[in-house]
Amino acid sequence: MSETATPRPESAQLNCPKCGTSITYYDVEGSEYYACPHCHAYFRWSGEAQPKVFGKYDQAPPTAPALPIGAVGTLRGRTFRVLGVVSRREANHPQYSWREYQLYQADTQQYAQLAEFDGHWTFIWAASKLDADREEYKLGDFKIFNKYQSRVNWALGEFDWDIERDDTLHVTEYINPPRLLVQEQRGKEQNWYRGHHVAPNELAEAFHLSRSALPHQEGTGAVQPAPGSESSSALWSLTGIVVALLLLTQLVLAFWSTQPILSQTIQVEADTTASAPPGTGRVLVSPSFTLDHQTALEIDLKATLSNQWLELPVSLVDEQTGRGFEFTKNIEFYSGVEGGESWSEGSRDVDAVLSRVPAGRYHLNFYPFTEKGVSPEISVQVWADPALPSNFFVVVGLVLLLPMLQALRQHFHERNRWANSDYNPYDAE
Amino acid sequence: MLERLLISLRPVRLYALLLLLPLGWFAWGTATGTRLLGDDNESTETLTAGSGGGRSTVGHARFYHK
Repeated sequence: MSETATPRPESAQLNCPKCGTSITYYDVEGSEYYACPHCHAYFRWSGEAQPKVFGKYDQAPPTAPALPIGAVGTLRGRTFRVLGVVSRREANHPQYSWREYQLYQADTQQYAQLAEFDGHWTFIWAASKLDADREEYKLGDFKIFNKYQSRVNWALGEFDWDIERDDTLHVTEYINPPRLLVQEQRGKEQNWYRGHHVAPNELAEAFHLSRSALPHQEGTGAVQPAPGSESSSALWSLTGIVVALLLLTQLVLAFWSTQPILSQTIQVEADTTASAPPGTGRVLVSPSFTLDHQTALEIDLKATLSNQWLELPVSLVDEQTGRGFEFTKNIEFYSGVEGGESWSEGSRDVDAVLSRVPAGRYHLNFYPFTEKGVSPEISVQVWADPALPSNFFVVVGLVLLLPMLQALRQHFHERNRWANSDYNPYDAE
Repeated sequence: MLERLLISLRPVRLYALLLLLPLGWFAWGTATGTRLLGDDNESTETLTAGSGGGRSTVGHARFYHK
């Protein structure tokens, strides 16, 4: 005699033993516990046995569940049907409540869950050695986020286990966004679950819903990835490469000009003409030098001052056109000993940078003005094509701007995430 | 190795293009001898050479202009 396999029915009907409402259920072989969508009675109905009503939930769902009971969706390549939804709260912090949607994959007869808290969704499944991504779920990489016991607020649909018995579970959640590890412990019995953040858009697409049908997101989810976290390493790699290239260029430029195009020491002499105010020095003129291309010039000045000051206007004069670049430097240096301690103020060295000086033949004019009777020596060095460190720092600053802003956003994202946790590492700060 | 590097940078390829702007600015500053944040030149006749900002105190050059 041959036996023919009877195909599993896709769904079946039962009547609520409390109110008689007809309830469609989908996990025909697995489901034993039901919560009536009409009267909210919670009962067990297994096989041919008489149904057993445990009671009814006082709280009714305030709105229809975001994922309707019976809805079918394809999430991460697996087709699930929503069997039921349980709203739970933390036993010690009843203000924290969330919803757990029970999912059933008919072709493999496997179960999974979608947990929703403040609009943040996590896909959760029982840990298995067969999980392809188990290497990404090493406990050592995770941080403890929450420990709690739960209570049921309300429930709808069908379940293959007694949801009320979960009250005795001690749950510990570990996070490594976007991943979640959940340990459920009852006495010596211990079960592990793995989870992964699901973006609302992905969920809406999976279950053919509009994004607005899903709850509005508030705060930061426990395993919600930080903004830009997916491209973070690429961003920092690119930034590192660019900064390294800039630094290399800057070093090459710094060692490029090894010889000054002008190096001279000049002596300040008092202007003895009757019209000159006291302290005015005679105009000093440097030897000529030639620039064969447009360049920046760095002019380093060093004056032999001791408790003196020198005001030094300088002109760079193009000998062909007469056009000039001008700058003024005030040089002062004071030092002494007071109360047994030596002190000094000011500096004998100053420098100036002139930008975009065209090619041509130039000399420098100095118009010194100092205290009467003071005639310091001034050492002058002129460098063409200086490295211009400010250019380097300005551009490096621009290159670092986005990664720094990104890092700042991620920092605040993490702070917000951990604000919901009793194990907040930022509390110690 | 270069191919792997390019693949790893793929998520930020548009940002890499955007980075060409500051890098080009740096290259232009270097090639033309321009200090990007302005220089010490105080002369009004050559101010186009720089932005006229800079580090020196506003001095007395105008009083001593030859």
